[in-house]
Amino acid sequence: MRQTIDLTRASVRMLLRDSEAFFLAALAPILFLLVFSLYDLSITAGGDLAPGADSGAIDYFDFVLPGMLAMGLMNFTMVGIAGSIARYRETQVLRRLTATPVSPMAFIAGQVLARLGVSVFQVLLLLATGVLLGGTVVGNPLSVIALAVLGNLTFLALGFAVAGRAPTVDAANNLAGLATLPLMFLSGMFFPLAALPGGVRVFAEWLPITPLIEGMRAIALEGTSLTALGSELSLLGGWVVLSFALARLSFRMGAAPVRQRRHRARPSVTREPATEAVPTA
Amino acid sequence: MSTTHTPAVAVRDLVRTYPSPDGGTFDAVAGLSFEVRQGEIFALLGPNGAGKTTTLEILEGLGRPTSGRASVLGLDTVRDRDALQHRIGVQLQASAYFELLTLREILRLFGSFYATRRDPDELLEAVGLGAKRDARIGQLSGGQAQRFSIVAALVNDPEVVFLDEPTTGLDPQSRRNLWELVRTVNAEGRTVVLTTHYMEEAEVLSDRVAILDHGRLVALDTPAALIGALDGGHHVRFATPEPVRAPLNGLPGVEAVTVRINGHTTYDLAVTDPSRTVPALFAWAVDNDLVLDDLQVAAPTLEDVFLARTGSRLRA
Repeated sequence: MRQTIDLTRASVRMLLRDSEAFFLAALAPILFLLVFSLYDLSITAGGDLAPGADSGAIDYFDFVLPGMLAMGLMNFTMVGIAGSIARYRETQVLRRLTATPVSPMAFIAGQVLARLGVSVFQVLLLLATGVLLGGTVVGNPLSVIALAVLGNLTFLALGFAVAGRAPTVDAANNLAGLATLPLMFLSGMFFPLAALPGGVRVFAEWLPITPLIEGMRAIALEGTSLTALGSELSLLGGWVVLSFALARLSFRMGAAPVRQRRHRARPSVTREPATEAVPTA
Repeated sequence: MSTTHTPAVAVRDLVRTYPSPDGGTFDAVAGLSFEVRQGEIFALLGPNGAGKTTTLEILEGLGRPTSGRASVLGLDTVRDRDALQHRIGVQLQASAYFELLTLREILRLFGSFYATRRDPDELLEAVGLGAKRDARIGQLSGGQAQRFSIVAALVNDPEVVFLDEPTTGLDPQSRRNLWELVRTVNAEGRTVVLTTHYMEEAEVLSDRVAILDHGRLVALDTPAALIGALDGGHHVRFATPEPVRAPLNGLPGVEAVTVRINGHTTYDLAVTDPSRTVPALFAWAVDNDLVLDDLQVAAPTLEDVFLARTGSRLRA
């Protein structure tokens, strides 16, 4: 327990000093929000975008705000943890830790708790930015945070699963980056799922980020309470279980998945018998 | 606490096999047995691939033996791993610390993993890194980073300290500073087990040396005894402005002649007994009307011990 607390505290400190994490978590979604705030658009439930306000449609900025929130969360937790754990492996930090009596569970818990804790402030920062830029948040921010924590648990577990398979930092970043593509563009982050063709839509509805976006959107736009989000919560919960199982299968504290041991052939210099001193250039 | 009769390290018939790239296997450690006494500085000396790091990793509880046994302070490295890790200090080859924490924060964090812990500021002060306590690893010089990685191995006040190639890549001055630090750590009553491929380091620093090659023990003794047991291994070196045609291998006691041309010509004679060779060499020079520049007679080193026992050089 003490180990977990100390590791969490140290991890929070590192996150607050990590400019890359800050970019993924806050700067990138804020830049997106700034750009979207420039457009005066409204969107219907069917996905029709039109300029200006429309009585039957939602302001596009309000629509996209929960999406940007989810994007920031996903990048900070899934991409962030995959890169940082892969880096700990590459620089032998993980190996150094396994040479101490610290329990792997304490280390993992420290990483998870630190990212969850910091992401609460991330949610508040992005919500505040959205409101400052003219967005509307009708529902309870605490409900948004609760959903965010649930979604983050899945993202973190997926990040650990990626870090478990990736032999290098670059591979981890690429793999996690690849995973974000469907999560961004097939999840209702930018456009309503209703606008997708049937088959793709079914796939999109089962992605772990979709219930997060849908739930946060319901809270922000309609003031829906958490208790009314039963289907979203159960899908998110199911993903938490599934992703933790994946992480458990994939992630190892010690050796990297493919560990190439240095083994160079050594040129053998044999002792030459005494010979005539013939100089050789 | 263990009594002084318990060896600090005991390794018996240790084998560690890895899959090799061609689909077969190779023995990184191929049947190794040795003991380290408490209070020693003990060096594992050998070229890359000799099995030094693999052996050390098994002793640290980071790797498992394929067969054979290893124990530290009487504790089995596999079965008693958890108890053992509280009593040993570990330094790995790579920097291996959190890049975004300060030195003091890292020591405090690592200390929190152990039952016994030492004050980070005192530790840093003791190795001359007091002024760097709020710096990060990336802001340290190579020598400072190595000193830090050693001090990080001391946070739990360990009885045995394992150092994996502590001076590799350091400049001569930093290397000497680090030797001083290792001696200090040892003078505090800690057993030090280190790996190195620098024969000079093993010779100067360690009480006893185990020479490894291809995963096997080649020799084990004090550096002085290893060198003393050597038949020959002395060197006579000199230079001439021009290459010499006259043969040198007829001189008494000369075992091998190495000639190198680099502006002038340098000769390195491996000899059994310089007191027989040198007078004959002078006579040879007079006969051939030569001046011998930079004449030196060198006693054998661990390098010669390695050469004599394995037929190959330590550093190719």
